[in-house]
Amino acid sequence: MRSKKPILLVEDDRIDCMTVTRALKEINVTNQLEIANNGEEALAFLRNGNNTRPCIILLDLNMPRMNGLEFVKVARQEDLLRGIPVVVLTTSKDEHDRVESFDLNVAGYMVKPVDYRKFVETMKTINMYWTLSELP
Amino acid sequence: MYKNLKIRHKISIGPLSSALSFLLIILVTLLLGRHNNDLLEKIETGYYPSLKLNQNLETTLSAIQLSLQDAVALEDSDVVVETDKHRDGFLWSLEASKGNPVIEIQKLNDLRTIFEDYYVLARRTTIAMITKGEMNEGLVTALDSMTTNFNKVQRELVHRTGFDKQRIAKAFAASQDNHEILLGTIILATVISLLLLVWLSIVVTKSIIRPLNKTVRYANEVAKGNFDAPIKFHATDEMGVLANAFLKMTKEIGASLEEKQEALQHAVAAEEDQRRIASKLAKTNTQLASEISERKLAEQKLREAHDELELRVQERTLELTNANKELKIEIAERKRAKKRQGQLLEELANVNRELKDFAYIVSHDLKAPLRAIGSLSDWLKSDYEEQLDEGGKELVELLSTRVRRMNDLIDGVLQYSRVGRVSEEKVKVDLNQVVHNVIDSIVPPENIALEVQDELPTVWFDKTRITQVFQNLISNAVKYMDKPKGEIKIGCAAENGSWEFSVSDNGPGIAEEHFDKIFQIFQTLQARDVFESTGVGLSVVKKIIKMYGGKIWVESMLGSGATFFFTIPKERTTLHERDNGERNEKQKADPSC
Repeated sequence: MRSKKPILLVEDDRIDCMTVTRALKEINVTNQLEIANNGEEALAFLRNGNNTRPCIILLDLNMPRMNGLEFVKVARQEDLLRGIPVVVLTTSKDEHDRVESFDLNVAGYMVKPVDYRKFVETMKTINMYWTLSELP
Repeated sequence: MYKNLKIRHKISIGPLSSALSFLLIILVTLLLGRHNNDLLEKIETGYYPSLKLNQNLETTLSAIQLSLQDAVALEDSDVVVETDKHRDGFLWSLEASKGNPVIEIQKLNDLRTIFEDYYVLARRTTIAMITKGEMNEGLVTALDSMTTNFNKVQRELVHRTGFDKQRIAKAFAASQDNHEILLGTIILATVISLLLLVWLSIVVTKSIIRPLNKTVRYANEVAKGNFDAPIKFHATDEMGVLANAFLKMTKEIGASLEEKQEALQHAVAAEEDQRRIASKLAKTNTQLASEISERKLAEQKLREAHDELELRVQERTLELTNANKELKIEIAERKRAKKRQGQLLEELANVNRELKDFAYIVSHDLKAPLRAIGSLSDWLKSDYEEQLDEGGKELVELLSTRVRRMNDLIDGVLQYSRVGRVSEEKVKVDLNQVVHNVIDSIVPPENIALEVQDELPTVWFDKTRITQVFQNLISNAVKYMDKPKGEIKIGCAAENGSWEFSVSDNGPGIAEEHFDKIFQIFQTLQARDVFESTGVGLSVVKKIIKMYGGKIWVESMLGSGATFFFTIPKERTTLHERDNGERNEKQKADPSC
């Protein structure tokens, strides 16, 4: 990552959280990883002035209390949060989810592979992109 | 124009024209005859005497010359006196001819002058020759000029003779011409007057015969009683007047006849009516009488029947009331049953739909924990590599492969349940292109030859689905190929109303008892550890083909390859097993992660 700011992962599944943590470590991403278990927690984290604003948000779609798309809708309304790029990480290949996500201007849409090795490759790609790309 | 002429005028044209042509002939004859007479007179009194004169003069001149020569020969001067007589004759002839109108007097005088010049010289010379007895120079000169003069006279005479002959010939030719003109005129006049006569006779006949025929036809119609036969006479001549008068007369007769006939018919009809009424009245009377007696009898019977009927009606009403009660109960029961049936049907439809969605949702949801297991086994292997012995590592490895297999199976179920679930749209698909793309995507190994044998048609199909069909069939043939030189052929034939496609290979083949099994989901012919396969491909193909109204089957000999056949209807048909309703709702409810 070009920025040294933390990465925010919004994910309810413990093993998926582990997967992301391991994959980032494996590809030597040193940014601090903050984890929120659902949309509400993520909003709370972002609104808290004591927390550093993350450089990127990795977002799961299917979560309890407030799901990914609902979170993005709220986040887009708030000036402070609007500028943070959101990359969707999901198992859903559903056309509907994908279209709606891009309607909400997400920066990327990644389908989680079943194979961990492939997942690592996916994370590597995301890292590479955001290393090359300027961040807001 | 001549149509408006009266017949008598038309008829008089004939003789009039003949008389005119005769007149013309006579006139021409008179004129030409007179001219001819003039010519003949001229010849007789002018040209011919002139010719005669010239000939006489020539003879006389010759006689004079001869006499003079005789005189010289005989040396006798008396002969010269003889010659003088000839001279007198010559001159007299000339003088006598002065009365001829065709001879110019001046010319005669000229001739006389040159003759006299010649004669005086000739006479003197002759006498000189006789008296002197011998020739001298003067005589010779005189002889020469005498000869010159003689020649002059003779030339003049010859010239005149020729001129006269010419004139006579000309006059005769003119007379001949006149004859020919006369003949031509006569023929022309005759022909014209004949033609005129023929034309006139036709016209006159027509103007008489045509109205006459019409009148006869009309008269025949009238004789049949038809007074209103359509007839019209245009002619204004006597025949026309006659015919129109006849027409008017017949019309009047017809009108009066009709009036009388009508009156007669009325009278007859009235009489007929009266007679009919009278007979009807009589009949009605007798009928009435018999009816009255019958009615009385019938009334009696009716009363009896009525009593009986009332009794039966009471019985029947009782029966009906009972039946009605039963019927009402039955109807209520049926209504209940029908309602129940509707509910059941709806429930069934719901269950069916839920089942379809269930497969989709469940397989979707199964993936999340499966992924977790996959990740965990991977980490186990990498994090605890040193602690695990060979057996442990193999177990973890087996765990990973089973996770992958389960993932494939779930993908298969998803694929299978998605057929007919996701909206399908029939479009025109060129199968040549589809098969070409499929072969490109498969990238068959070099030992396998892929061949499209026939020109493939364009069909109405969902493009992804038909691609899936060819993809699965061709990739199966490639995947299971066991021969060093593989051959895969794709064919197509038109079979009454359908396209029949075939994908054949020379691979291992399939035993006949498995022909049905291979199309069922998750059915594989080899253990998955031996040959990695989900057993979904063919079931998906079958589901797609059936949904589009086609059939699929396989023909094979174990060991020598298999041919998969499937059909697609040529007609653009509606899809089977479509249920679009509520799909979107269900998709929204899909748990994604």
